[in-house]
Amino acid sequence: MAAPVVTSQTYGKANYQPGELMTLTVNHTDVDRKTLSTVTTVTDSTGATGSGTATVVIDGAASVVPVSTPAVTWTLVAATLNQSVFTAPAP
Amino acid sequence: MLSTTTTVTDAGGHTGAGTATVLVAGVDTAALVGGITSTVSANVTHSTAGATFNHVDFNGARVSATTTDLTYNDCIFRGDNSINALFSATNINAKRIVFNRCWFIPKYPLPDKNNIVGHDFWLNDCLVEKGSDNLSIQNSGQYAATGPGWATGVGGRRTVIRRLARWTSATMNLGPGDTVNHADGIQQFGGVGTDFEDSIIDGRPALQFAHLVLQSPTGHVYTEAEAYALADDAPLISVPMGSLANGGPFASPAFDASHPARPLPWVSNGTGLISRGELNSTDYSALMCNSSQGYSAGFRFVNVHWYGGEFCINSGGNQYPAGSGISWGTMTDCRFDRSQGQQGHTVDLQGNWSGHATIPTNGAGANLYFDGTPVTVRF
Repeated sequence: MAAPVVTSQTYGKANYQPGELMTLTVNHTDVDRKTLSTVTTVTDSTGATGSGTATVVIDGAASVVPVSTPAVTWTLVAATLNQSVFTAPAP
Repeated sequence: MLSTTTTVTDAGGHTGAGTATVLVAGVDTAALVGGITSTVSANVTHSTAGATFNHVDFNGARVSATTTDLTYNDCIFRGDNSINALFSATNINAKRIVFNRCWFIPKYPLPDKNNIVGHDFWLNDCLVEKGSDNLSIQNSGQYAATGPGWATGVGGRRTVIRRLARWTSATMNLGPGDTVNHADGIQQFGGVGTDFEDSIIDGRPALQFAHLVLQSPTGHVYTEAEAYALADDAPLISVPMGSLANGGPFASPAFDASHPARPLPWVSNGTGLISRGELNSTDYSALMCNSSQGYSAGFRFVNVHWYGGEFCINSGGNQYPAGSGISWGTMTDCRFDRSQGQQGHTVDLQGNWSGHATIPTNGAGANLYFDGTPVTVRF
């Protein structure tokens, strides 16, 4: 299986003042990630059928963890499968 | 620099990572000038004609030019620990000094410290900020030699001049025998032909720097970013006098009848609005015209955006020379904000220049406020 990839990582702007709230946007992908869609059909003795569909993501991202030097505490404020947004006060 | 490495771990325990850096405070050399490759920390005089300097950080050093055709590309000028300007082109032999993508910002803010002083310099894509006068245009040698009407040789394209800063001194005067802040974006002492196009000349004071430091009603001293993001009608509260590490800010006692006590680093204009100049008194100008080295005239400003000032453009020290026929200059397609400390004194030539200045306020090339209305001009 392939490893996930951080495709880009950007701050909200190029220069922060101490104490100012920073934004970090991390875009990431995983080539192994797949969406499995299953359609189930039920057939009764008369031949009538009914069906339902369900989906599941295979190998979704388990965690996204930014670590900074100097240390700051990043707080996750928004997340999708392929993007995580964090904020932290500039040290 | 803050460096952040982000690790992504999938459900199978596989990891990937990426790293990015950001500057927290200070001078963002990489972003602004493409990266510094050398640093000069001792004062220098450049006297070799035609020399070029690339990606140099004059950090703790002031620079003087005594020759012609110097070119500075992607340099930072921070000056030394004295009241001398960061860059001096006062020598009569200084000609055609060109700055491309340079940043002027004092490392050692001190009373009356200017960023660039002299003549015959040109600014392309530059940022000049936090000086007492950001540009101080003068050429005493040429004036002495040939009298009024000497060519300044000064101009710029796509350049920002902003954030005026005049530190008060421990003697609690803003300057020798004065209680009034006289910081200017550009102060010209004489000469003709100063020429700026597609630029910003901003006569508003620097915040959280020098003597103007604001705090919240609960005593939180704003960061620079917070101060510049204040609501237009935010309460404007100075940090307590003498509370800063440098002993400032300083309240000025009364000096004489025309220089009353200044208990705060600014004088309210009664509007209570930042956009209407509440912080922009006393006596800032985006452009101040004097005539101690002959008349100042022949200005050319095209598509310049002007901000602030107690008077934004003040020619009070530069009267029209009666009978001379000379022109103060031309302004075309300029735009102005309304944050003058003295409301209505935006372009104020104060010197009988009527008929001797081309500053249209309607039609082609009209000079307007940002809201589209004609700028107020007093000739």
